[in-house]
Order: sequence, then C-alpha cells, then structure tokens
Amino acid sequence: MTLLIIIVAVIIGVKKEEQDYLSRLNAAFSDFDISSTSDIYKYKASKNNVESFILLGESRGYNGNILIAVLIDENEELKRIKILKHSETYSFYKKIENKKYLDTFLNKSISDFYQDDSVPDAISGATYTSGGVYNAMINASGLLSGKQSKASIDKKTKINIGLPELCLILLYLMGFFNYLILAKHRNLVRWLSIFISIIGLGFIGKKLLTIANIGSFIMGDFPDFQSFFFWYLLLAGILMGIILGNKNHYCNWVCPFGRIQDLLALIGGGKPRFLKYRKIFIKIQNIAALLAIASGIIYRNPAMTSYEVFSGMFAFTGSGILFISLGIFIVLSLFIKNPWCNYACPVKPSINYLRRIRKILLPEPK
Amino acid sequence: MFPHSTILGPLFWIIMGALFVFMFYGAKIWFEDLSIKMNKRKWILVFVFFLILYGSIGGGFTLIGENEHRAGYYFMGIGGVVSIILGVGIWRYLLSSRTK
Repeated sequence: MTLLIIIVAVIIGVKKEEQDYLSRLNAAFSDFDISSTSDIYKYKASKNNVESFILLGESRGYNGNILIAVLIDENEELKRIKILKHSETYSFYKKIENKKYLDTFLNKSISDFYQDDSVPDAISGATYTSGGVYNAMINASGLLSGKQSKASIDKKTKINIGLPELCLILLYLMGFFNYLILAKHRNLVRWLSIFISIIGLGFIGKKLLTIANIGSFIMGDFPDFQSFFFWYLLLAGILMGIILGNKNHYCNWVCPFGRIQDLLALIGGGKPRFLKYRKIFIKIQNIAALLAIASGIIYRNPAMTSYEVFSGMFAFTGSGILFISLGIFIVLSLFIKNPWCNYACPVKPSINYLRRIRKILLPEPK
Repeated sequence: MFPHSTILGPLFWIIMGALFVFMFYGAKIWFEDLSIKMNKRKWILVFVFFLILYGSIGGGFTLIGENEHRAGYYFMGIGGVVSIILGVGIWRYLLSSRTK
C-alpha cells in the first residue's frame, strides 16, 4: 500500500511539474506577450512593441534543482528574475528572500557575469542554495551570450571529505562493531558517540537526514557524488545496517537529535511511557510520514512538507511553530524516553519501512 | 519602571528584594522538610537556576518593552527551556542526596 501511494505520488508529481513551471512562468511575466522558440529554455517576450528574452536556467541547490527565469532586455540587462521551481529547505530559501539576493543582479548587463570578480558573496547559512541560484542564473544568461561564465561556481571534482564525513564514518563504525567492544568500555564508547554526533554532525556539520532528502532520492534527484559525498555515505551506512543485520544504526547511533534526547532523558530520568497506546502512536507517526513524503513528491518539493525540528536545534533557523514544537519535545524528553523519535520523527518510519522490505526479501532463519 | 514617580521605583525593588529573601528562606525550610541536606555547592546550583529563570523572564519582558517582540519571545523561550532542564536536573540531584 505504501509503495503504491509513493508510485502514484511520483506519477502525479511528474505530470504536475510540467504544467506548473509554465503556469508560473506566465504568472511571473503576465505583463508580457510570451512566445516560445525552438529552444525550450528560451522565450520571446514583448511589451509595447519592445522585444526582450525570457531565459530559463537550472542548477543544483541544496536539496534539488533550482529553475530560474530571467528577463533580459534589448540592452542585454537583467530586468526581472524569478525562481520557478526549487526544493530547498524553507529556512534556506527564506534567507535568500530576506537578503534580497536576486535583487543584487537586477539592472546588470549579462557581460558583467563574465568578469572574474563577478561571483557575489554566498549567503551565510544558505551557501548551496545561493550558489545554486547564481549558477542557474548564469546558465540562463549563457543561453543568450553562448558563453560559459568564468566566474560560475565550479562543480567540485574532488570528493568532499571534512569533519562531518569523518564523524559519520566513526559513528557508523561504533554502531556496526558495538558488539565487539568489551562491556567495560561500552559506556565510554557510547558517550564518545553522543559527543561526536551532537558536536560534529549536529552543531558543526548541521547534517541530519530529513524527509526532504528521502523525497529527493525517491524522485530520482541524485546530487553529484563529489559535493554531496556525505549523503551517499549516510545512505550507504543505513542500507548496510539494514542488509547486514536489519539494524537501524542511523537512529540509534548517528542522529544528533536522538542523542540530545538521550542526554535529556538522563538528566530528567525519562522512561518509555504510554506503552499501552504505543501501536496507535506508531500508526499516526507512519501515516504522517507517508503523507509528508507523498505530498512533497506531488508538489515536487520534498522540503516543503518536511516537519522535522532539527533546523531549529542545530541551525537556529525555522518558523515560530517549529521552535515551539522543538521546545515542547525538549521538555518532554526529560520525562519520556526519545519522544520525538518514538512518536513524531518521519525518518524512523522510512527506515523501518526499508527494514520491513528486508524482512520480506531476506527472512531470518528460524 | 515607574517613570512618573520618584517613590514607586525604589519601593518596587525593596518589595522585590524582600520577596527574594522570603523565597530563599522558604526554600531552606522546604529542603529541611524534604530531608535534603544542603551544602554550599547545592545552594550555588539553586542560585544559578534561579538567576537563569529570573534573567529569562526579566530579559524577555525588557526586550518586549523595547518593542523587540520577536527577540523577547525567543529569549524567554530559550531561557525558559534551559531553566526547565536545569531545574529538573538540579531537583533530581537534590532528591538523590535525601537523608532517609
């Protein structure tokens, strides 16, 4: 049933996407007469008998591709820039909007973009999103000039291995080989893993698995391996844990928010509670996760329906509702063992679904 | 606090000071009642908890008064959560040292 819902969501999403970007294009440039050309990324726009071009450009942001439309007048100056499609995390996208990042390019000649010093400063805290927007705009304006910008933000050719990647490898190793550690050292290893997860992955790396990532993978939106090596490593670890031992190492060892809840339970003496209603809670959690992922796929923006509280905790960004829910879950964690993981997180049901598939495909010997 | 009065301001702080004294004296009796043996370290912890709680409420409302509503709510929210965590932790610590 779950698989069927996801497949239907993917089909609806693909059909909807084609109609969506054209209607958004028409809405964004409704004061112009738009006519298509032989190139699907290039449109002619006329207003008061003055001809301009609307050019579309696409590039990878943080969660997926960003599609941008730019209006270029007869003097080859950028007169309007609109984002037609994106799947960025709400808080990152909001930063681009609040800092009026797109406005910094208005009234500039497209030849300006071919200077070495034309790359604007990335928006702090939304580096990938602002880089993606810039590259999409460069790709769009390149359609008219036929040039490649010297200053476009280059794709990385080397695999990006930094502190988050090292922390992730360490945490997976601790999870996989936990049974080999002597009982007297297990406590120390557990504390070490809590420290690495919260500091390395949470506060420094700010990298947590969300349904935006899961939705992007289901939609077939795979980021480039070099720049997003972390996500491939994360996925490989999850799949290996499931295939080799049907274990969820991500939730038990890697997730920084889970470790924060572990610490809070230690401070407040939190225990597993409401065990009588556990099945009902799990059902609600599963349905909420499925609805969020499916609607994200239908609207081709998995980040839109992402309701995790992680960004508030580790990046200090998010809406008011997110911060209120974060506060509630932090306080609850003092009295109930891992309330977010057990009753609300959409990532756990997704991993558990993979575990169920594994159980069907590879039944354990009796 | 009371810009149009010379007496109300100092009076307010005198009452507040008296309330703090009563509060800590009440806490001392309460801990004795609960058979919690207090020492200097435990009192410092209680004082730190009180300071954070008081600072969060006071600081938050000051920001709201300065028309920085958003900052005020965030300040009170973060400070409030920190004081709840600290409060629960200290309470459990104090209860663990109860003499039977």
